[in-house]
This record gives sequence, C-alpha cells and structure tokens, in this order.
Amino acid sequence: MTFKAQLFAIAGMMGLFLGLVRGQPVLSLLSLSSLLWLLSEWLLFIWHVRFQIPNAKLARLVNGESDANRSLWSERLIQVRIQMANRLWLFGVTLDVEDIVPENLELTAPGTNGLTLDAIAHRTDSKPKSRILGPVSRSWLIRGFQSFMNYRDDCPSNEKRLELGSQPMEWGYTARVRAAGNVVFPGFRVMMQSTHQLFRIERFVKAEQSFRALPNFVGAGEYRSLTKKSNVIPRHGVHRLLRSGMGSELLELKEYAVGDPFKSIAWKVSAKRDQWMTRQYESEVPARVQLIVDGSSTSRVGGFGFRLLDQMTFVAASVARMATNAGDPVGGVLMDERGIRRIPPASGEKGFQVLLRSLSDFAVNPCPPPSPYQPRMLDAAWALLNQRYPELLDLKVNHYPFSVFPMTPTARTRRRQRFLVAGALAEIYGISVREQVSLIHDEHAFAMRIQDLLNSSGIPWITPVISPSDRRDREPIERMANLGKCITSAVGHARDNEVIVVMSDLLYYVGILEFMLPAVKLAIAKHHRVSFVCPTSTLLRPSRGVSVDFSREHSAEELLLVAEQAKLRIQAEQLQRELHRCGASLSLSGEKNAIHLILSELDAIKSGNGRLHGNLR
Amino acid sequence: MTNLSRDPNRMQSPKSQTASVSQRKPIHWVGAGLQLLAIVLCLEMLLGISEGIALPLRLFLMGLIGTCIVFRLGWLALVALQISLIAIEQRQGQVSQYPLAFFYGIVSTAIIVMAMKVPETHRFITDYVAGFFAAEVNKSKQQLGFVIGRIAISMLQLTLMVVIAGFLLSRLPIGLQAESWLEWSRQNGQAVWPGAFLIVFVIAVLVLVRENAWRQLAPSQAKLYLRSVQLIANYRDLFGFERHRLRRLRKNQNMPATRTHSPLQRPKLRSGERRDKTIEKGLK
Repeated sequence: MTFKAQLFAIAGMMGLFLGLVRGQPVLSLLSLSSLLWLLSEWLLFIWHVRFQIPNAKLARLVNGESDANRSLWSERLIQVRIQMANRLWLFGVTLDVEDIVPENLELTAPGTNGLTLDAIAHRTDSKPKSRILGPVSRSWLIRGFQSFMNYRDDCPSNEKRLELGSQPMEWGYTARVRAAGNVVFPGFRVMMQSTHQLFRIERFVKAEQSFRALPNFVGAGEYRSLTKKSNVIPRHGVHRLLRSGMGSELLELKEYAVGDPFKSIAWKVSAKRDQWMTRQYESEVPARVQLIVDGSSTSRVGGFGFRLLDQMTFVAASVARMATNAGDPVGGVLMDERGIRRIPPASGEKGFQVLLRSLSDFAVNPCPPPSPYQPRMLDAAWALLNQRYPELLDLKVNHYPFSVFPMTPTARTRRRQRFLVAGALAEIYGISVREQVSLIHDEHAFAMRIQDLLNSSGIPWITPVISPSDRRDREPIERMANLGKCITSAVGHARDNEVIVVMSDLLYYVGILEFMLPAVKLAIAKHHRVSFVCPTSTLLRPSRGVSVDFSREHSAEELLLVAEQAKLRIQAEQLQRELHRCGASLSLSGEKNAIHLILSELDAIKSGNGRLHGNLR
Repeated sequence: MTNLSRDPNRMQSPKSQTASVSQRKPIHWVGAGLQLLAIVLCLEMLLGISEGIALPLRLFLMGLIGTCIVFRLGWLALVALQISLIAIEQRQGQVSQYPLAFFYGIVSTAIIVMAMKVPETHRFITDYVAGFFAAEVNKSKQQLGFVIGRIAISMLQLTLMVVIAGFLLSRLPIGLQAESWLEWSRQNGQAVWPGAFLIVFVIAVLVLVRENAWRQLAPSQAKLYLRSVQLIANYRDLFGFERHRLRRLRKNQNMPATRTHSPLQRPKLRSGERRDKTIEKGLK
C-alpha cells in the first residue's frame, strides 16, 4: 500500500466515523463507498500479484543469442532484445519491466552517437558516474501539470510498460560496450502497481547473463615515413637476428656438405677457392613483442572506458593485432596488486585470441582497496539495493529498533537507512546478527561491505566506491620494483632482440624511477627495444607552449586545464629525460601514436636500426 | 586530439527509437481544457445539490477539487467533498430517504477515482480526438471501443461498491434504524447490536490479509524477517558487546604493539594467585 492509499484510507475512515456520529447518511455513503472501492482495488491487485506475475516469463537475447558464454567487443554496439513469452491478463494494473543495464554498457539514444553528457562527466571526473545514483528530480509543480497535460517523457529503451491484456511481446535496445572486462546483465526489475498508484509491489527477477568484453583494436594505418631520414646500417653493437633459413638475403658462405642443394652452390667462389662452397640464406625470423601491462589500482580508477587501463588494453590489443598480421609472436606480462601473470608469446589467430581473453579478464576490477567510510557510500548502497534487492528494504520484513533519542529528521532518516542497508547486506552475505550489529556501528566494516557490494555489482571505481584520497598509489616504490621485476622476467624469457612494451602511468613516479631503471638498462644491454606507453588521465597529450592569455577572461575550467597541462608537461619532460638516458622510447598517450611507436620499434628491431631510441611521441 | 577508441565515426548511428512527445498539438490543449471544464460543471452540480452552502466556500471547494484533479490528489478530493457534505448535509437522515444519494455517491466516487488516474483518461480522450481529426478512423474506433469498455467496467465497479455501501448502511443499526433494530432484537432474543458478528468478521478479514502477506514473502524476505526479530530482541546486548569491542580495538590501536598494558598499572591477579610483594614494591 502506498502513502497515497494510506491517506485515502484514513480520509475514508474519518469521513465514515464523522458521518455515523453526526448522522449524515450521504457522507457515510461516500466514505464507505470509497473504502469499499479501495478494498476491491486491493483484492484485484492481490489477484494479479498471486496469479499474473508468476506467469510472466522473460528472456533476453544479446546479439540474437541467449547463450551467455560468448564474447562481446568493447566500443562496439550490441543489440539486446527482451522477450515476454506469456500473455498477461492485466486489468486495473500496470506492469513496468526494466532490464537492468550494467554500468559497462552505455545506452545509445537517438542523435547521441558521440560523447554524451554522461561521458563528459566521466571525463572531467567531477561527478559520480554511476547510473544508480539517482535520476534528475523535478519540482512537484511541474510534475503535476505535466501529468495532467499528458507530457510523456521519453522512456528509456530498456524499460517497457505493459497494460491491459498485453500480448506476448518483444522489445529491445541498442547499447555500446564501454570497456574491456565483463558485462553482466543481472536481471529484470519488475514493478506492478495499480493504475491509481495505490498499491505497488517491486521485485527483482534474477536473470543473470555474463559476457566477456574483449578489448577493441584498430588498424594503425601507414606509420612509416615516405622519405629516408637516416642510414639503415645498424649501430655498433646492435646486430640483426641472424639465422640460417630459407630467406632471400645472403647470410654466409660455407663449405659444401653432403645433402646441400645443388642450386645453392656458389660457382664463382668455388672456382676461386678451388673448393665446393654453398650459400647460406638468412631466416626471416619474426620479432617478438612482450607487452607489460601495469593494472595497479591507480590505473583502474574512473568510469568504464575512461580508465587508464582501458587505454592500455586498447593499445595492447591493437599492437597484438598488427603484429599477429605480420606473423610476429606476441606475449604479455600482466601486473597488479594480485601478482604477476605471464602470457607466453604465441603467434597466429589462436594466440591473439588467448591474449585478448587474458587482457579482458585482467581488465575486470578486483576488490578495491579499503577506503574510509563516507556518507556517499550509504547513498550508493541504498540506491543499488533499491534497484537490485527492493524486497529486502521492505519495512514489513526489515525491522529496526526505534530510538527515543532526540535527533533531527535527516539524522533519523540516515539512521533508518543504515539499519536497513545493514540488514540487507547481512542477508545477502549471510552473516550473523552479531556481525550485522558490527556493520551498524563499525564504520570500517560497513564501508568494506559496501565497497564489496558495489564492486561485485559492476560499479566502477568512482568516488563512492573509492575515496579521492585513495586514488594515489600507497606503495609506489614497491610498484616500481615490481615493474622492474616484470621487465627482468620478460628479458629472462626473451630469446634475442625483442620489443618490450611497458604500459604504465609513470607520470607521477618520476622521482622513484631508479627502482625500475636498472631492469630497463639490462633489457637494452641485451639488445632489446624498450618502449614505454604512458596514458594520461585527461585523455589529452601534454602539448608544448601552454600559456594563458591574460588579456582576456578565462573560465575556471580553462585555467584548471592549462595548469594541469603545464604540470603534465613538466612531468613528461622529466620522464622522457630519464628514459632517454637509458635509451628507451616513450609515448604519452593511449592512442594511435603509441601504436605507431611500438610498430616502428618492431620494424627497427627487424632491420637492426637504432634511430628510434629515446624518441618522445 | 581524437581518441581512436572513441571515434564517433566508427559507431553506427542508431535508428530513432522513441518519438518525443514534448511537442503537443493545440488540439490536446483544447481537449484538456474541455475536460477540466466538464469536471468543474459536474462539481458545481454536486456541490449545488443543497442550497445551504455559501458561495465563497463553494468556490473554494471547487478550486480545491480542481487542483486535486490536476495534481492527482484523490485523497484530498475526497476530503474536499467530505467537507462540503459536512457543511451542507442535514443531520439524522437516512440513505433510503434521499433518492439522489446513490447517484451522488456514484458520481462523486467517480470523480475521486478519475482524479487519481487523470493522465490515463486524458491520454485516451486526447488520442481519440487527435486520431479523429487525423482521419485515422479505424484506429479511433478501436480506441473508442477500448475506452468505452474500460469506463463501463470502472463505472460498474463503482456502482457495485456504492450499492453495497448503501445496503450496509441501511441494514446496520445506525441512526433511525437503531430503534427498529432494538425492537427486533428484543422480540427475537438476539443481541442488541451486531457487534459480535462484526468483530468476528473483522478478525477473519485481518487474518486473511496477514496470511496473504505471509504467503507473498520470498525466502530471503522470510529469513530477513526472522533476523530482524532477533536483532530487535537482542539489540541492547549486542550493541553493548559491539561497543566494548570497538573501544578495546581503539585502545589497542593507540598502544604500542609490544606492550599489552601500562607498566604502572597493576596487573590483575587470577583466582588463587598471590601477589608478590617484591613486585609491588618495584611498581611503587
């Protein structure tokens, strides 16, 4: 029974009482009629709840398939169709069905195929980026007039309202996968209410479908310069990978041995030396690429599609695609707080798919680091529970002790929310009543549970999940040391001249690079190429000559952007200087330039040319 | 700089999925005005059923009910009608004495119901009118049949409720019926007032409602209910334990890890253990 129905019942009972006491029959008749009508509506509603909702059978097809063991591609559109199999005899009630869209999906609205406001909010990182954090509220005055004038807002395409005698139907929506990782459709939120909004029941119908979202990749296009800028003779100490094989380039001459093909006999040399000599040709051995992806917590902060890790997986997948097309094997080392995982180098389509799957699994956010409790956590948990577990917030079953202690209405509301959320969390995680009381009074335990709930529900690492103070790395030295270990491991598993690509956000760690640089020097001493890809959080490469024109007025955002660019530029120059001393190259973006840099390095390692070392792109 | 991964040119433009309805045609405004005018006229007729109400109060009540209809406040419309009845209706009457009472009850209840679902009704009417003017005759006929059927069922339901209410009010010993009931009960040796029957009836209804509510609970809700009951029953004790635990935790966090108690603090003795006086001297 809604609040409106309660008011209606109270008014009816009061009118009936006054009509009987004062002996006014029409007043009594009107009030009793209203109460009986309310009773009849309730009986009708109960009948629907008992016999109609269980008949509703919902199914979801993603790209025409109901099988969950499939893969999606990030940054691409998917078609979702919802099917309702049964016919429902709905009379006097409406049934709202909403397919809960995971946070890793972005609904495409007409005319917004570029960046949406939501995306801009993600980019500026100034607002919460979760879809569950509440709709835009309008004043009751506007809502009242709009309801009378029948203004219908554009209903999101993942929702559908079913009314009288709905036939078996199908509806759908188009969405875009925001980032690599996983896409979990949790289920449907079903709300049945009488047409007068007197009675309402909300249920969450679990229909979980989990898909792996593979990272997107692009072709890098032509990246070689058309003009020859330098000689291709290798530097002193740098040599090509020379092995005998069936290539076209001459490797060496050797004495004839039984079994050598006659066509490889070098006749002129044999005549000169008076000895049978044969030609040995070079083997066209592919150059291997080792991708080291640093997925530490700082690279996972932000909305899906706007994390640094998303840029890294994009570059890694694109490089892997190009290398695989050229026949080069690609391996990887994935590093984060959980440990280091090595992907053996493999070539061909199968190896490429293995790498993509590994990157996709790696892009799924693990449990976030513990953050101190903040009130927004309670708001986020409240919103999420309202969406996914509305039945657990029902005051009929989730009781809480009343307090006579005087407090403000806001504080009383917060207290009620905290008790209800703690009860729902206790039921979801199956913890004891004693631990439930701990959740209510221990802010640390409460914050950890809420973090776990939000993260497991697919909410990205944004402000309610992780506090702004925790966005910096807690143990940067250990991280640099681990990165050095990864490079050393890659060198240890490398055969000969290879390209080692390190993807990590190093801009804020310029001062402690010495914990990683020995490994870089070791790799370069072993004649490997080392490239660093350092994506920036603003999605903008720090440009030169950033200045402010003080002759005109600037907005705060412009000044902030300029200041951030200037700061980034200084850090980038320091980083480039440090890496240049070692002979490594650096790209400060997670875009096409980074892919070009790595592919150029790959070409250089094949040709033995060393001119690219130390370049900043 | 364009980020490749977010290049809008690579995404296909989705087809238009929902049509915006924010631009309303003038015919809709005319329909809404006519509908509101009809409601006001109906109210005027209802409130003018008796001449005892003052004009300012009548205008105020009409405005109030009109506002309730616009803002979908059915309960407030009921209150407004009740206020008007308190003001104009004569006391000590009987339902059966007023031939217009049933009509009044049906119409006023219908207005209250319509006040609650005015957007739906309004949508049907405006869509029908718009379809009629757009020469979509077949569609308009279908809609008209749908609307008429729906209104007929609703009116049938309302009429039935008013008749049942009138029957109950005329049967129960209220007002003038009390004396005849008393007479009848004396002659037949029955109860003076059917209170016992009503109490049994109300208890049966309450049991039914509660049972229905229980049967609607999901397993997780039932478990949560038991958990809540246990929490409320033992909350004071559990809160005490938790407070003690937190206090101890806080204290341990503040103290050095190697020392469990202050050296100047006298350690507690176990039962049967005797305190060594030399240690006590040392402590002093």
